Amino acid sequence: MNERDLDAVARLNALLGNDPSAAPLLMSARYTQVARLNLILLKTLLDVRRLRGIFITIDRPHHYMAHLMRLHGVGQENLLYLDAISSHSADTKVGSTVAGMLGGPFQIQRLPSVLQGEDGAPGGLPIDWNRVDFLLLDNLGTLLMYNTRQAVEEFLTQFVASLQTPRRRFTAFVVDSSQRPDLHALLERLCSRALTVTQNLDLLEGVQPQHLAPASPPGQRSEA
Amino acid sequence: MVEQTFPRLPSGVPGLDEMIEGGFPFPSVILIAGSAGSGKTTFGQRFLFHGVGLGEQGLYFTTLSEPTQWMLRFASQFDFIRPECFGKEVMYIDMGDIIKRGTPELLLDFIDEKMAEVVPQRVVIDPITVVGTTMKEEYRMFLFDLANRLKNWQSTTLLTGEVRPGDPYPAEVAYAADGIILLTLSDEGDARRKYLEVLKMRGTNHLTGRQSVDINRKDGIIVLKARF
Repeated sequence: MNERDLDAVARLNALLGNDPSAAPLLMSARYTQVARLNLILLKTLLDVRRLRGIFITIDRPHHYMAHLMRLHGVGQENLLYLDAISSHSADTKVGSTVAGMLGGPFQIQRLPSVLQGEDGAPGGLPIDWNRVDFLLLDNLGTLLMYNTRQAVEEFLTQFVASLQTPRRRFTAFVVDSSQRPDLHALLERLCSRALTVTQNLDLLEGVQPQHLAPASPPGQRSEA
Repeated sequence: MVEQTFPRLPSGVPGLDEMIEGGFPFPSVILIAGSAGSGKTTFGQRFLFHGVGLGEQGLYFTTLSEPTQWMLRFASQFDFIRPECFGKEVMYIDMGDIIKRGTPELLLDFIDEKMAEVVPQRVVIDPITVVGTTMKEEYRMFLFDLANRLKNWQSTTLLTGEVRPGDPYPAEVAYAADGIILLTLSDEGDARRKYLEVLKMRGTNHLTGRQSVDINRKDGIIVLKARF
């Protein structure tokens, strides 16, 4: 991770406060930043906060994030992957992490009940929910390519509600408001905390669309 | 109804984005095919440096056609190139050695490592067709795996491809690509004109037919017809 990424990790850690699970976090960012923000989120939660969590992959097979984290020195011993896309990806890249496989990214509204074990252990991995501090999804925008808008809205509402039992767990949603305005509006209602990520990876409190405009020239940071 | 809208990366080539619904799908793999002098490398540089202005990271793989040193010296003559970004916002990786001694698996692993290290949104491999000369029957499978992985790394990649005389474009690469842009030179009377044509762009309504292009110091490559 470069200096800019590490600054973002420190800033995110400070902004999360003492109790990150108090409320879901909405992060408004350009769609091109999703992969890097996932890395920053996981670094903050796993390495800085020493939390335990689940990373659900819908957008790409989990071993890409596992590789990214390994290369950037982010510990994965407290992370479980639930992979909803590998079985559809024809990917030859080999992973070395433990991952449960979900059937696919379709019918996403069923995921909260799948996670609760109503169909048996999710992805074949028994989960002790008392030991799970956070759940993250790799790319919410992708859901709309596999599911109806209504199904995604239903899923998000159920997913946020499910974070409260058996104890509160943290989640963050990274969404581009210009690409997915409806999804972003729904998440603004579901999340009581929001951050805007500028193109220079500055993190600003609240939703500030003007900061999603083109970045300042290299070497110049935008004002926080 | 399921939504199918792709996020798009503007190409940076003046006049092109209006032809392809605002830009290349993100992520995707696009073949830029053409003969020598048709503007493939200039197109790739324009694409990467446009991303710099949007806060995006670029990664440029050179293969065996030209050492990075000389490619950069010539590229630096364009107004849109910002040498202060060399090795930072736009990283250059020379793959010549790994291609000469590598197997497809070694080459894929090498690219994986660089993609994970740099985390780019924009990638250029220039030219990919050189790799085909070092592989035989495994070339097509290599291209399939390469395209799949590049997209899973969350980037839009331009693969440039040299066109052999008599071929419209490198067919093996075309099968693996989500889009094909053909750059051609045409002798017309005493003039040699340059054209750009979008042959394929998955998930995108695109303007068909040859469009005149110009290559100049200010813009690099520019689509003339679509501007007016």
